[in-house]
Amino acid sequence: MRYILVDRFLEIEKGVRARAVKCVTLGEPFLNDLPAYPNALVLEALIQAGGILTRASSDFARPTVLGKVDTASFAREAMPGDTIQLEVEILLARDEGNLCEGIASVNGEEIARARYLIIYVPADKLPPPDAGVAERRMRLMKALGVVSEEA
Amino acid sequence: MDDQEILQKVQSCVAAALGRDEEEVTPEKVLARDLEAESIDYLDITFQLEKTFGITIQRDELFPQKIFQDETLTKDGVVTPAGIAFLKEKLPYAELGEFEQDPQVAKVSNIFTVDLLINYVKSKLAA
Repeated sequence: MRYILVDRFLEIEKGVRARAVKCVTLGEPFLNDLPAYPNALVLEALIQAGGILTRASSDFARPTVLGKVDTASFAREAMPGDTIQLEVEILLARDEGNLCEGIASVNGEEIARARYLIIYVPADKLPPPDAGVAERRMRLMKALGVVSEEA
Repeated sequence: MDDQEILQKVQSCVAAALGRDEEEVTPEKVLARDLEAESIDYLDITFQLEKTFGITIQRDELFPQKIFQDETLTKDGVVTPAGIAFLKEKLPYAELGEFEQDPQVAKVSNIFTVDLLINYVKSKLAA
């Protein structure tokens, strides 16, 4: 993921669930021509949170990708100034990956919900990582306490 | 759990994984050919069956990928006798009769029908 759409993790219970937030600002590049934050990016934020939760289960030793989105529904769009609460849960875990469910809400009101598969991918099956992006991402996750400083 | 209940729950699992109406998911349907299941959908179906029936499905137990990876099981696009024996061992509840007449690797996916899933679940619940 080149765009990180999760601003902060509030809680990660490895292998179980996580809570995170995404703050929508008027400076979002996606808001150039739209009055609202695209639902697809709320879904992407849920998926990213589920992906990080899944990777945390292996202490980030196993890369993951989105396998598929089973279901996704949207009640309304998020607007600039909204803090989107992302709650993701691992419904089932297998060696191949996890079945996750995520709920996005603003001020306690559910705005989106999705069920999706996050699957592990052998590192040699992935394209070479962009070293700069990978390093920045890891530094950010350490700063946010998602990954320990020793990792 | 009686056969009708197993059928209905398997239909529900497959329908949920493939985004289909349950009425479409009849026992004779081939997951890939008739219901357009893709590779990731097999994992999804595995998740759905585990969740719905409370069973544990080991990796490659229901959809054995080894048949596509082990060079002794296929040759020149055809499943070898060793491959047929492998499939019979891994999928004792599968109907392989028609497949054995023309065991092309490209047709392996035709083995995986809704009926196979039903029989698999029955065998797991009976174990």
